[in-house]
Amino acid sequence: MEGAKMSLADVDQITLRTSRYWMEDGLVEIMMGALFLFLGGGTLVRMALPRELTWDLLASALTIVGALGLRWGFQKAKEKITFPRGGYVSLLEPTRKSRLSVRVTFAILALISGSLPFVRFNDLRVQLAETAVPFAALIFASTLAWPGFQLRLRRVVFEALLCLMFGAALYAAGLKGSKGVMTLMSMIGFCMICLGAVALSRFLKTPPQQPEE
Amino acid sequence: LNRIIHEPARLTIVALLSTVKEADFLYLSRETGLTKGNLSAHLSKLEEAGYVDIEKKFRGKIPLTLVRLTPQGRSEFQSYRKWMKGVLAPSRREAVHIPT
Repeated sequence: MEGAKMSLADVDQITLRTSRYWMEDGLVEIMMGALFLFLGGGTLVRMALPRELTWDLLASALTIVGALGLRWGFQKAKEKITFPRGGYVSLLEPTRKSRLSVRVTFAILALISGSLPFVRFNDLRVQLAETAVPFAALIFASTLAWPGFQLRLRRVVFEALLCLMFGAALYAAGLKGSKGVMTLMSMIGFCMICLGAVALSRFLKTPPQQPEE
Repeated sequence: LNRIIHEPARLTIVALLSTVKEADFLYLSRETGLTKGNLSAHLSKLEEAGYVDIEKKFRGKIPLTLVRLTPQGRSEFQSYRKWMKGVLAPSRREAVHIPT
């Protein structure tokens, strides 16, 4: 804002600021990273264990409790760390379209990962297993790249690039199918936690706002 | 031309609120860079026009002022953006000067 003039580009920038503020503290990435690591790592551990109903039930229960726990932790962290420093913001409810796109993405990934052990046609099974890792890497990368470019957050664009690099590395290493996708998720999750922690430490260095009187 | 929204400080406030459900006074003060007195004055004008709802409450012993755009404020901002796009259509990046 300069003096008495303001351009449309300025208004567009201002409308992006709130979304940037939501990402500024790195907590979103820490939570998403923890979720990825939890799901990916947890599934890898589950795959290493013998196939028994008890383990299946325990894994399902842990997944639900873990996801809910992460959500609770995220809200508490926002209340304790972000809002007292930079102010309270409550985002608009996601639109039906954006909810649908997230659900479709997860459904596709779940379908690919979940169907691999049950595919009977060997050729199809091999093909799905072969392409699962690069396909998942592409989906993760585009999911991150979109808000990264939109909000001009270099850190998030870098995470999208990391997804592609990890996907290529795992593909080159010959890791396929569910195991490959879960390893990819764990690696992305770990990197997101690290980058989110760096952003959080930077955010904590900024001086807090004076509270209302 | 909507004079209430066209003023740069108020336009900033409305633009910030357009992407959120609600925000507090601290956040608006941080993002607009306005002093508390100035921000209060602009919020009062927006409230008088029916563009924002202001809710004052306490979180523990700390006062908390929550501000949200009303449906009228939201639609006025959308109309203003449309108007601005129309005005700037030939050269979108040019600034709009406020007529005095």
